[in-house]
Amino acid sequence: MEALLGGFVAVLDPYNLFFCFTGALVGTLIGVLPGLGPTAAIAMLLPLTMGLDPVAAVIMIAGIYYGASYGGSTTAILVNIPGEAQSVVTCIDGYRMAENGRAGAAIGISAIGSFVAGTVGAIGIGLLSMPLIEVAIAFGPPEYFALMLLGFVVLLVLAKGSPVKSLIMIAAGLVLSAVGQDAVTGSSRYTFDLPGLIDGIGIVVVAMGIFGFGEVLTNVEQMSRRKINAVPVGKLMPTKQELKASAMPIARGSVLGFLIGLLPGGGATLASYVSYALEKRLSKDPSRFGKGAIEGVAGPEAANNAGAAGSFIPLLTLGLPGNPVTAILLGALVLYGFAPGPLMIQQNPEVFWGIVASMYIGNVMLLLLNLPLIGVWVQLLRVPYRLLYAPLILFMVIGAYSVNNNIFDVGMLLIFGVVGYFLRKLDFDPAPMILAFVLGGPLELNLRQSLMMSRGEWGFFFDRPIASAILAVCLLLVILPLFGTVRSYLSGARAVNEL
Amino acid sequence: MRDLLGGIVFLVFGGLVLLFGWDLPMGTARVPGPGVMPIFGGIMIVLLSLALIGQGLRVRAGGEPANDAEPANWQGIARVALSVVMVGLVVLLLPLFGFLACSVALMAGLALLASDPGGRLKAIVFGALVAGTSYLLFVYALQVPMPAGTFWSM
Repeated sequence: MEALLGGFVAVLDPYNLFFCFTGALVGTLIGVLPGLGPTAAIAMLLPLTMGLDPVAAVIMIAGIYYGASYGGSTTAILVNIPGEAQSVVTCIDGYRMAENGRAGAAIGISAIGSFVAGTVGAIGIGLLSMPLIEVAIAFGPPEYFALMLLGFVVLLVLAKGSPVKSLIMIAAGLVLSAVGQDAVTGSSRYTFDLPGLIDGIGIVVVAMGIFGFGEVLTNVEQMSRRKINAVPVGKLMPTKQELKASAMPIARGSVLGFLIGLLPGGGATLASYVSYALEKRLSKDPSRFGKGAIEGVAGPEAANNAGAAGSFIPLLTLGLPGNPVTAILLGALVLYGFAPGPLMIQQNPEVFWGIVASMYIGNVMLLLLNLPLIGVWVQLLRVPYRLLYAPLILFMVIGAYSVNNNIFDVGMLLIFGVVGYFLRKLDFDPAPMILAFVLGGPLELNLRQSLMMSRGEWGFFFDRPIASAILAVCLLLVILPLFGTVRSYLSGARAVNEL
Repeated sequence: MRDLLGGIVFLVFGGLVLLFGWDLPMGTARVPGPGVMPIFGGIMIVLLSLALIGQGLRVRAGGEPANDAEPANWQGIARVALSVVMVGLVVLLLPLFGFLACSVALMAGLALLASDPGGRLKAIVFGALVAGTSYLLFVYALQVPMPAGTFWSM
């Protein structure tokens, strides 16, 4: 508890507060743009945080994340275009509410829901991480290897679309992570004698290319087809009746979202889908859903925020990201010289608790800052996309260059942008790739260390109870779907995921 | 169609991974070498993309509409291609002509791409304005050391 207060002290430091504020502001700015969501916002804005004090940088990234999520919901409600998968659900009833003249109430309830969920999430992280860290301290390379494997298996079980494609993405991510000097022997892999590749491919250019540049290119293609008609906002405060109807969905969404966030491949998106399905099932009159039911906005909006908070736990306690946002954050933390994992809370408590506190402060800031500024965001929505995309591209070019002051990185940005564009065209979800890319290095290292510890005996894994338990769960998850009943249940769950 | 195309693309990628990774030492079971993961990844990609190609062919043979995509938006694709080419040119020319000149050209070019035929002058003015603003913001105010260009000091 004391430590959490320390985190708040760190965030409330005027210098850090300023960057949290700036992050939330520019995050919203990018998030509001149709077609660009939190992952794109973080990826694009990462270079901005490079020159800062590391704690401030991490706090700013958290601000960007929350700002972009909020901006995405606003766009989903007002123009029916989701910035990213996590606001797809918000479109369903949020836009209908807007058409019924309740746009303000939908935006208001989504801010309130996010705030409540953010509070639940911050408390949840505080409560859950300490016991988890105590367990994790005992983990050695075999346990970490088993955990990462479990992460990939769960990711595949929950994956949207074709599992074959997701597996290809994982394999491609692992291969990309191998580029550069091998950590154990120092020999070069796939460097083609290019000096820019010796240290491996940077997380910034990969993330910015695939999630930022690639996304912008996809939007450039559809530019002329998209008409944007923003609905008038109206009053932001929901009525008493609306608040009453939303209270339980927000509470359920917060808890449910947080738990889903803990899963690999979980996080904000899945949380919002499951919450929507749950509220619809629990509703006395499910037919209202899809026609502007405020529960269909309140629940998922709370759930995606809580899911985001939940997904920070495996990152902060084990150093294992479960979704693209936390994967990019892991890459950023490593760049700043931190090693997320069980030791971070002792070595850099100010970073650990600073992130937790900044989630909370970020939410307060959104409530105070963005609701009054809603008029500005609506104006921004009216700016045609053709005027926006050129500055976005220039911004990314500057960002990629500034990481190492090297033109090579701009070239890599371009290459990964084109890769991201084609992946979307060919229906490959890039999320498993970025996860495998970030986890590839540690996965390989832990496996090799495990084998060195055991002198090459694979049976070694089974002498360690925790590692073998995790591997057993992996096996179970692979075998179970082969049985009919489980498969039909799973395909039901997937249908929810693709709702 | 997408499965088939995706499978072919990744089959080529996996093949290249194996081709360029073949020389990497595999080590022993006791001390695995640097080649293990890339080769494992490459083999996985090749096998999986073959499966994907098989899937794509089956769907086609099943008589389902081969073209599951919306009709190609050639104008849009051309815009994407030209944007990529322009950024590629910036990568090549930035060290020579510097940030200011390159960004003015890039911004004007991208704006031209998106504007109506009547709005050409506006697009160029817009490009110059955006480039000038970002020069002031990033190079002047935030001190990002963007290259000034060797051409101008010759």
